[in-house]
Amino acid sequence: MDGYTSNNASENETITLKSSDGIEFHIDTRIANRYTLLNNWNSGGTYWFTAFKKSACLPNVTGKVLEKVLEWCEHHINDPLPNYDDDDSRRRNTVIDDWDQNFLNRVDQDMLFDIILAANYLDIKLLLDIGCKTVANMIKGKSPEELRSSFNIVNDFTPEEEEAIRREN
Amino acid sequence: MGEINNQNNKVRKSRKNSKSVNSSSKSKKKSSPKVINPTITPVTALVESPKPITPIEEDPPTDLPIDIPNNISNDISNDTSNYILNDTSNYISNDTSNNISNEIPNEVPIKPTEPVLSPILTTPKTPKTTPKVNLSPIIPRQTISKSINDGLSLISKSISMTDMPVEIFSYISSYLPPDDLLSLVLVCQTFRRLLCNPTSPITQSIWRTSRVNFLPHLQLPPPPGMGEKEYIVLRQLRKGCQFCQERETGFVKVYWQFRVRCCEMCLDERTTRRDTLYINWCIPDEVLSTLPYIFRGASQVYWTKDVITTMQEYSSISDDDLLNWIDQRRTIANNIMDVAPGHEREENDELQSSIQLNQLNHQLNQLNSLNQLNSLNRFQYLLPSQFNTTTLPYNRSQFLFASPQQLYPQFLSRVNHQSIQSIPQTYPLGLIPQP
Repeated sequence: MDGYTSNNASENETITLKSSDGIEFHIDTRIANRYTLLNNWNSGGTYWFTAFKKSACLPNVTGKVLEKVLEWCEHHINDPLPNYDDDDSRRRNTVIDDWDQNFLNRVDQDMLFDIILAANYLDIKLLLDIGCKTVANMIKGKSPEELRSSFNIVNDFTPEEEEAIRREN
Repeated sequence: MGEINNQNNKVRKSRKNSKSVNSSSKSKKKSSPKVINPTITPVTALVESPKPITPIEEDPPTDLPIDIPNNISNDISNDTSNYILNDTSNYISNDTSNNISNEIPNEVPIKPTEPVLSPILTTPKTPKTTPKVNLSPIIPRQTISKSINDGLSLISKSISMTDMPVEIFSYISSYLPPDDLLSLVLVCQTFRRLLCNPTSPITQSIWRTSRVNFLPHLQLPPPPGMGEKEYIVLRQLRKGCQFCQERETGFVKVYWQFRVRCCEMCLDERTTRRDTLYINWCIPDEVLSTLPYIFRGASQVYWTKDVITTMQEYSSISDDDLLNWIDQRRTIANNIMDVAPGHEREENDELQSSIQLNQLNHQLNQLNSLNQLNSLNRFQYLLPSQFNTTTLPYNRSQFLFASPQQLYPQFLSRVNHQSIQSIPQTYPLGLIPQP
């Protein structure tokens, strides 16, 4: 009853997450621990778990997205904890492992952005990482026209502007 | 039963701040008998309608226009449900109205009339709900949220690349080399504002990250007063001279003192020697001392345009400020001159490594062509020595396996055994080899 304090919570404990459209997910506390998604809320002065008994609403995440995010978390639950100190080497490494690649290839573009936003919101660094890498790989090596068509962006430059930018690049 | 609801429509921008707290009666967590672990067991209390459920293509619930006022905590939940009912009544069929209080997304306090909520697995309260069977991770969207979404899809567009928050965008761009960032600049105004804003620290850090990660020969910070992007653009040696599009990299280099990338011809056109400036143009010495210069041969040369603009400034400035102005300008010029050698060294490193790369490619080409050697005749090895040198930065490998006719056009007439039908009759007779 004293809320969520211990990091070595027993395996049977769960946490209830409720998405913005009212779908409830019961997740293992190990997932919560691991990805600090709920740790921060507990320690950061907000008293989600002490006051509200280990259930949390995520007003920014829909059920569809949360489901994918949790699917990812579940798959990676036994991975060794990454070392966030070597930020540089992590950034240079643009390789995504196969499962993640498949995982993100199955979703469409809107979903991919939603997952990235959710991962950012929930502070799941690795998922945010591979999501951003995927988007970066989608961008790499494309001409501006190809980028516009693949991301559905409207060209809002006048021809003169475009010419000017081309020249200064 | 206090309920705080801060959900606003701009949650994407201020995610961390918007928290909606749900005080439910789920206090007896430990007493819950069965929990499936670690599998996610999404339990829905919400499936109530036998309508066919179609997949929803977009998820805009963060933009829900349901603005529940703050004082709603004083109301009992019936009012809340009425409120939402009114708001969405266009989309909700009649048969769902009884159950509506169960389906209101996440902010509605539990009705006091509901006696017990099972702590972990929310017991479905509507008769039509499939109880606990619905454990598949694929959850069909509920009718209520679907209908809200349907109504919303008219006014909210799906999230696209341009809607991403800045921190995500800069995260993504940290994986992109500068070339791709330059393409992004040309995509639309949003990206251009993000990437071409010399005063914004975010812009600078995006380009810096990209430069440090992807340009191994551009690790020095940009020279004083120069933005990261301009720095990268200036050093694109492969783009050639910025005035005449000369591409022979050996003759194009960056003149860091003048902040231009050009070939020697253009440099000579656009610079003036110090003695010319001093004698013919009557530029005073103190003006020249405020300008960066380079040595061409034995004399210092100055960028002509810079001299003219500085001269204009010099003549318009009052006598009181003059000394100050000269001092400042002199410091800047000295700074520029000081950092230039470092940048030149880096540039040379890049040139050297590109030469080595070319050599490597060249050798690889040779290896790849080894199997063709048998079919070649002996003349093709007789290369003039200047074609063999690999110290030149450009790749001349196309000469290596050229036919003798291409290599020695001046001997063509002697070795050419082709028929002479094509040669016009007016050709001087002595030069035509006899067939």
